[in-house]
Amino acid sequence: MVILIKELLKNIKQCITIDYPAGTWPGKKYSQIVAYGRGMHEFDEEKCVGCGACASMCSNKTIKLIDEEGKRTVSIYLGRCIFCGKCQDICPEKALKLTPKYELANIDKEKLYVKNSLDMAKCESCGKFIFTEKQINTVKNKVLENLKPETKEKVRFDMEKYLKLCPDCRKTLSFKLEIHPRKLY
Amino acid sequence: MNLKQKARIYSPWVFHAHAGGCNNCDIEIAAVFSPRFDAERMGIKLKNNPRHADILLVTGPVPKQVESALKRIYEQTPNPKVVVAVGSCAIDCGPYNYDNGSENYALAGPVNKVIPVDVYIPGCPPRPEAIIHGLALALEQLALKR
Repeated sequence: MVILIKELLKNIKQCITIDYPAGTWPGKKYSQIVAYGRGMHEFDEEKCVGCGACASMCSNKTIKLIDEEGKRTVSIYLGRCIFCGKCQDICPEKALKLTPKYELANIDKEKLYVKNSLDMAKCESCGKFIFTEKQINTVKNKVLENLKPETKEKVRFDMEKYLKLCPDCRKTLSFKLEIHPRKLY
Repeated sequence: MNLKQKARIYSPWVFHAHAGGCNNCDIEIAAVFSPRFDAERMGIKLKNNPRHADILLVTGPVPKQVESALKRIYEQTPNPKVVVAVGSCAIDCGPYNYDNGSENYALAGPVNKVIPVDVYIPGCPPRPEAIIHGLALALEQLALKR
């Protein structure tokens, strides 16, 4: 009973209702919307390589990779998203982040997309589009980082032939290029 | 804008239609009208009768059992009316659809397949502040209608 009266007196002293856009408690330096709150997605366009780790990890199949006309688009449909934050945790380049922005309501259903498009690289022998150009460069750097200096030069020489081909051409051309197809995996 | 329209925008009445789903969006809607977030200071009031309402808040993925009831509720609300789809279930059936994108046999599709929707509020569930923002957008739509 004493606790109840204390709580009632607290409520008379100060207003409980939160202001709408700022969301602050009156009289206290406490924001209702925290800085790490999960809201709208944001791409860091310089960092994103279009590897598709977020798409494979997405629990609700919200994130999709669409390849057309030499461009790969990573599209996130906010209408289906449950804002779990798995994509933010799995992203190897730390390019995808959830911002605390919460005002997502819209009149048009088609405007609920967050998109990022990247250029794709062509296969040198058959002309098919394989991966994004950024992804090839990051893979090259990451493999070369952990190698010993004796093997480094040889692997780099192999990779320059190898990474510009699509998976089918790698198998057929591996004898001509004098590279074993499983060497890099 | 005549007097009747002006009065309607300053005190819109809301009806909350629950169409399936996990009750999480309904709890957030209850929080919107509680003292902490207090949508009633803006004149928005929750009513239990669709005949009194201007705005319909629909939550959930609309199972086949609820489809006819939801249509009836939509017909009962007087014109002009605005329909707001709250949560990812109401927009695109959310987690109730299958992973490969095919439709669930028990659902009559998202809300916009059954009745016309004006405002979409994504989130699972949306924050109470997000619902207040969605209601503000719904009032803009209500001002355009006659």
